[in-house]
Amino acid sequence: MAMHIAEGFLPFPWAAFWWLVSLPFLLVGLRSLARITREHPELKLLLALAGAFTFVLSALKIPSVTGSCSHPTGTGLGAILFGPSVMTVLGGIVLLFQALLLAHGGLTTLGANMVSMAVVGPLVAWWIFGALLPTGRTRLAVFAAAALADLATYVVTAAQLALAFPAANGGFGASLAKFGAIYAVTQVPLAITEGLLTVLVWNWLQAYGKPELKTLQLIQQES
Amino acid sequence: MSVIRRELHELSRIDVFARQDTWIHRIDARAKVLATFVFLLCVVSFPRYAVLPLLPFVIFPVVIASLGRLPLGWLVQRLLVASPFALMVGIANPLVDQTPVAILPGHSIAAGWLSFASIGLRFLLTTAVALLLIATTGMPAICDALRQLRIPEAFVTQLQLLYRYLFLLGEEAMRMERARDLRSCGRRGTGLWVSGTLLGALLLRTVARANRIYAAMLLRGFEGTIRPASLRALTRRDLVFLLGWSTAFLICRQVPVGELLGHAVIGARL
Repeated sequence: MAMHIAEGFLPFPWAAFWWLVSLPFLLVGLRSLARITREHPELKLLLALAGAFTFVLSALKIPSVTGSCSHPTGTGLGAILFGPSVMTVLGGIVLLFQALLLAHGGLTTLGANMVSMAVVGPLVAWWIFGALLPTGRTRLAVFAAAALADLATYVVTAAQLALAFPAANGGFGASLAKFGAIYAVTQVPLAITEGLLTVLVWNWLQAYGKPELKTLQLIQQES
Repeated sequence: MSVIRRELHELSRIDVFARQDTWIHRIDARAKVLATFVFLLCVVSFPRYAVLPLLPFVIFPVVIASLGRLPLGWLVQRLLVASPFALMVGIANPLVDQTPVAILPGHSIAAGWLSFASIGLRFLLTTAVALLLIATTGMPAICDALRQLRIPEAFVTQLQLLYRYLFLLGEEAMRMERARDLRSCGRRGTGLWVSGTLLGALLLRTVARANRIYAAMLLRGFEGTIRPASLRALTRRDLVFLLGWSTAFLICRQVPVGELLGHAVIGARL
């Protein structure tokens, strides 16, 4: 969770800017969510529990490929299962909970965190998965979607911080290099871990949860 | 204690705090949500080197925590847990921004130290206030307030349902994690393969549970929307709270209260 931008960290113009950027995506997601729950009221509970699953996922300790422990974000898996627009709303709610209940992230930085974790991450996962699926290598598609969604989240977070705090010498580029270097050390192994983990979850769903997978993919089709 | 158990324990503690009956708990959730919103806007709108003008804002969280009888240790602990990010990113400021800034006659420091202090103070203020809002109001009341403040119904319903099932699913995950740990004999069995299987099983159980809960809710008359627990008009006390604090925040944002107080103290001494 260390990738969330902390409360009060962004200057007001940037906090407001990222809120404005995130709002259209949130509205599209909400419209999509409202339509799904109107046509399939039974999915309302499932969506809430899917959000709770994402929250619980972020609190589970998973061994990392470097030997340390990390936690998955669930962004890639969520986007593959529910589609990017629903994931924007679920991700936004999970980020709001994390800000209010756990002091991870914040209310003023919620817009920026939503753009990186609930908008860009799911969109990247969705695109990658869609692009690689026709090759017939589903596992590779799942791995690449989850790992690259993770990496995209960190790249966007680093860019958000670099825009808000350009270096006195070198400006945005130098600052991006600084924040990117801070994230790269920890997040590249974590992205690989999340990719592998998502493949394992996907395998499990394919093997034992075909009916449940159909229910989950109903959300994606509707969105 | 596992991460998930610790987080669930923290959530339960917040629920216990929110169920207290104090003057601040009795204030309408809408008034508290809006006052918090004005507070956040004012605090984050200061320029990056502002430190002294932020100090008067400390009064609000201190008053709310005292009136709400919230333990200081809990608040400090939550802030410490969340602080590494702010420290990690802000600590580089004194190194990259070494422009000298005069703080007292004959004394100057690097501007980076000022921006670091400003970021730290803003982080402490805004995070503390967000935590205090939830600890003196509770999530169900906040959801009702958001609904009354015309936040889209789909969002609020999901927010409310998600909060309700967080504990349910958390306990399920905790049981699975405990079972894995008991069978792992140290490090064996805690690898990525088992974790993937564990998460897959948790996701399937989530879907099954959602179906069971939905059936149970239908039997109890659920029609698709959650009705607010209480609907009442804002009282004079709520309005005084909202307008009083909002005005104070706006004054502190526009007038350098700390500086004026400093001049007054120095002037009185001379």
